[in-house]
Amino acid sequence: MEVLKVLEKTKDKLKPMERVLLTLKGDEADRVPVCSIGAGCTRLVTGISFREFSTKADLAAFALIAANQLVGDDILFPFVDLSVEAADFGQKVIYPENTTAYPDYEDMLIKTVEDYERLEVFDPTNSPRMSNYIKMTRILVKRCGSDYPVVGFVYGPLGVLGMMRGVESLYLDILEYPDKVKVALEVITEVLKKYTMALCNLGVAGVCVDTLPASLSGVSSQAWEEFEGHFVKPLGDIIREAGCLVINHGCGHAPYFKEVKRCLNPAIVSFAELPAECADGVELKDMYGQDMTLMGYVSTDILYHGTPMQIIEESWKQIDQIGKGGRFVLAPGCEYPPNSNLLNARAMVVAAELYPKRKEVEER
Amino acid sequence: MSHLQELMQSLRTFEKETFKKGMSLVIKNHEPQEIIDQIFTPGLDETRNRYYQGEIAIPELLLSMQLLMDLLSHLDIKQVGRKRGNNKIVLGVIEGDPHDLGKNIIKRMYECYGFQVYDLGKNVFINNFAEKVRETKPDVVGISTMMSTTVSKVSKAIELIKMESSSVNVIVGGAFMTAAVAEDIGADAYAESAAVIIEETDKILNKTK
Repeated sequence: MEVLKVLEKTKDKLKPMERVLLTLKGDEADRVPVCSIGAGCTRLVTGISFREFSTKADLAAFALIAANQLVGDDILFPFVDLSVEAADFGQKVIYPENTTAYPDYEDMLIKTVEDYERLEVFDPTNSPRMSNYIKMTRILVKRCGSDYPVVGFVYGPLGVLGMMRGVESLYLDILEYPDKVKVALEVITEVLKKYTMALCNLGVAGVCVDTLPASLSGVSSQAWEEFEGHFVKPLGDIIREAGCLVINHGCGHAPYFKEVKRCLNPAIVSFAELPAECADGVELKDMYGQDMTLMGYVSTDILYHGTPMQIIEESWKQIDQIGKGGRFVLAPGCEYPPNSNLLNARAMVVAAELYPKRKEVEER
Repeated sequence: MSHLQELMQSLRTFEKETFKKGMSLVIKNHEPQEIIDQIFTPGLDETRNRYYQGEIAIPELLLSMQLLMDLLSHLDIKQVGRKRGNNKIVLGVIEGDPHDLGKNIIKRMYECYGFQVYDLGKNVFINNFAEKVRETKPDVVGISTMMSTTVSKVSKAIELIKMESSSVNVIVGGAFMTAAVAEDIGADAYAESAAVIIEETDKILNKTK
């Protein structure tokens, strides 16, 4: 607490770690922290391929650090792609030249409902993709962990299962063969627990659990609690017990904040759209921003198509609505578009830097 | 409760086995047109409305459409009046994108409402859209993408489609699409979700009548 008091007195020249700490505490720092969730796009900074970014820990770490320095982010959020966990269960993955890795949907690991029972628990610290991710995160923590919060990333069990069964089949199986689906979810969760623990042991500031199906773009809120909320709860407990921050990401339409809070109780929630119960950012802040830090929610299509000036305007609008009283990190609603120019990511940082000056001009 | 009411109830509660049993009884005891008017059409409209209102999510929407299409396959379509039998739609997910859940939902929705659908599948090369337009002369082409990395290809596909036929309408959708992006890349319309696809399609069809 002493450290925080000192920080409060020197908050016109804060370092990223200090800025984020103050924000999480519910104070306004020198400016709103920014996290551009740059993943695949960071490979453009060092010129590596999507495959190298997904599979070569040292190259990916270097790209993430280089991009972080160019953009000026406050949080290192090393997401790679959503196929990491599924690949290590044995799902065949395609690594295209020009886009992010994805499962081979013509050759799903779980072809029939009987296959749900064939998944087996393994040690993710020794499996190819997950150990590569752990290695990459270790490099980031070692190189940057004292200056920047480094966040580990775990894809939630229902999402991982979708990468092995195909989302359409999985969603129908949830209604028709719920018990078989749950057998697979139990096994996946066991592996994710070990994976989460391994990430926490690296000294990350937090671990983000992605609950993509927790929205109207996914399953119903009741089904989400039953088929994912119940399973992510122990992941949240592991993260908290390790002294790390529980972070949640969900980029679907009308996300289930209430249910996610009940099951995962995240300290930070990253989102792309407002939950159905909130009309705007102000309501969101009132309803959820008192005990959770809100991270979002510049639309990725603006980041892809918009000009830096449009990004600055949009960022200011969001800071106006959600930034007051801390507990807000300006970020895209989802991964920064993988083939996009990073100039618009930089524009978000510039927007946060200029915002206090803009307020001064307005008040004059 | 009548057989028809029981069938409607099992559709509302997503009880597949009950629906299938009830379906046999209804088919045996009712005329196809009556089934269309009292189960198929209201069931479809109600399901779509519940999805639009956020009362049900994608799994329930998928199952309902599956059940209704199953029901329809047991009826003699020629005997019953279906709307929009003459409207043709070419559908596909753009080259480089393997995500076809959204496209498949849209396909089912179109089929349920009586459109004739030519499904090109996923990861469709841009030339194939134009070739299918030449071959089938559709009213609408629907292109989906869930990724930012493939948006430029959607734009190129629209260009080729319009070169093939300036009168065909292109409607786009997917996680990365918005009305602004749709306009930017030259599409005629944008559909935010399966809940509004029929209205959006009707709008562009009415415009070109």
